[in-house]
Amino acid sequence: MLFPTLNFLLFFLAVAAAMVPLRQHHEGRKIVLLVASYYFYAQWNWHFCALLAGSSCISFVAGRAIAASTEERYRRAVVATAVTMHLLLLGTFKYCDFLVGSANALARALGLTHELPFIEIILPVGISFFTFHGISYVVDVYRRDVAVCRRLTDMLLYMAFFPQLVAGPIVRASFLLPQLYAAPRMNIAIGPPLMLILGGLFKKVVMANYLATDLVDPVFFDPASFSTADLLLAAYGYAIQIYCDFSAYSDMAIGLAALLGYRFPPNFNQPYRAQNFQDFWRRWHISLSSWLRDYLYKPLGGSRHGSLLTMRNLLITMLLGGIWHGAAWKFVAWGAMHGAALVAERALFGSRVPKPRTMSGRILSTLFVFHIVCLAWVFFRADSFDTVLIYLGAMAKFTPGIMQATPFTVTLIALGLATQFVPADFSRRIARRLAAWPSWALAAGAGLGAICIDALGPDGVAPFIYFQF
Amino acid sequence: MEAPPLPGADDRIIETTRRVTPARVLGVLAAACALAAIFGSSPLLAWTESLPDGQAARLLHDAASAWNTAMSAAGATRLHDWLRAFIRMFENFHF
Repeated sequence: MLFPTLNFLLFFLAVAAAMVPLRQHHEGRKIVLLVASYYFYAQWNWHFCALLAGSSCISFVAGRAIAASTEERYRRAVVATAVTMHLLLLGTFKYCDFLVGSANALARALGLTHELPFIEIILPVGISFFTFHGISYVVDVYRRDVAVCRRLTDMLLYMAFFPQLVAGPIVRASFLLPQLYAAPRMNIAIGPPLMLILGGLFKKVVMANYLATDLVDPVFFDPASFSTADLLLAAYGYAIQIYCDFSAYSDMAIGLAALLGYRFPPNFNQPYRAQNFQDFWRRWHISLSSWLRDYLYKPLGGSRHGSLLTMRNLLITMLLGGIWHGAAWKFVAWGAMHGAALVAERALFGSRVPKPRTMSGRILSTLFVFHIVCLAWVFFRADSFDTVLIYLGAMAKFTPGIMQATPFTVTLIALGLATQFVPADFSRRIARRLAAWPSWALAAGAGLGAICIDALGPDGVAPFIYFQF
Repeated sequence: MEAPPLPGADDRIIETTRRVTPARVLGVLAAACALAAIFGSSPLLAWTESLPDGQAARLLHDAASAWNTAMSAAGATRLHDWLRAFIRMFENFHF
């Protein structure tokens, strides 16, 4: 059940309707949200509801055990066990066949004839996200950043809450659980969430979908057949497509949760205006980068033990961040490229990269970072390393002409880039204006906006890119 | 305790933002859907065609078809049709 569909709209209307009589019944509202969340997840594959529940139970039991003890060694052992169990689940479902394939490739290279059989496990939607939620909870309880969850239903809802279940943002336990423990008065600011949802719909339905079907997919399918300009524009196009696709999901998730009275953290902040790679990772997939920083980079030692170990920690973090995206070497390469860029920055400038003083310096820095990010996206998007080599080789041939890109797709790329450079408080200014609108005007704006977006979009709705992760 | 603010929406916005009850949220969403059903009767019809076959689906399809005919006759579908034709025309331009 995808967000930009009528099926989801009906589902959400039913959930919103159920909230009305439960306005003063916090526990009842949570039960409805829990049932709705499992129904939402069951629409993909109901068998995996047991996996989601099991993963939640691991965290719940571990959290209770950690909170019940003051003995540090015991608490640490429980955290380690729970994190290992979560990672084993993730590893089994997501990386098993990848590891088998890699082992077989190595065996062939060494001249061995015996090959391990593939298990061909179906990847549960959202497993990477709910695994990180589960790990976040046990670590936060261990660090005493969040009160232990006394009710299993709170834990089940934290892990399964449908707006963020399948593609984030990664909402930490210390952020969402206090909202579930408390009983907020259900007064909801409706304008900003509607703005986020409509903006997200436009980015996904119009921008990401057209860029995918009209430019990116055909060029990446057979890069040798296209001109240099097409290949360059397709790389730019994919940068905009993945931003619009993923930030759209995040915006809609934040907006939907807000309509139900809950707050999610921001996930994107105009990433392509970054002037260095540190800055880029403070703006792109913020919930993942901050998660990796706090639950991986810092426990590895962070920047506390000298330059060399800091660089090692950066590389490990980005490599694992890369493979978190998918079980393939191309994601490892993508993570390695970003890790190498961060290491190079650290080697050149130390812990704080200075901002260029002149306008031309700022423009050049932004262009440099954007193009390295686009190069990394080519690895991320391509089907294989062979496709990357063909792609980059074809680009280097400087074949003239434009075969696939059109004024329409170039306009979408330009529009996508323009959104990166509007003033940072642009959305706040719109929200402030929306604040003055009466409810009937908001309803009219939302209804007409949705119809215009449907009319402007292509037929059908493609799944979100991050669903596969 | 108030519902917490949205990210990107600072306190000044929240202070001035009209806050509504879940009933009003449902009302706004329902009104938006009703308006969308008037101006977007053709996507509504297309959605009923994608439903799994069955008695209820056939009934829904017949109702959506009659609704779409009525809305087309009233001229309510012009905005949707015009925007779709415009974007298709733009999409077909080439360098």
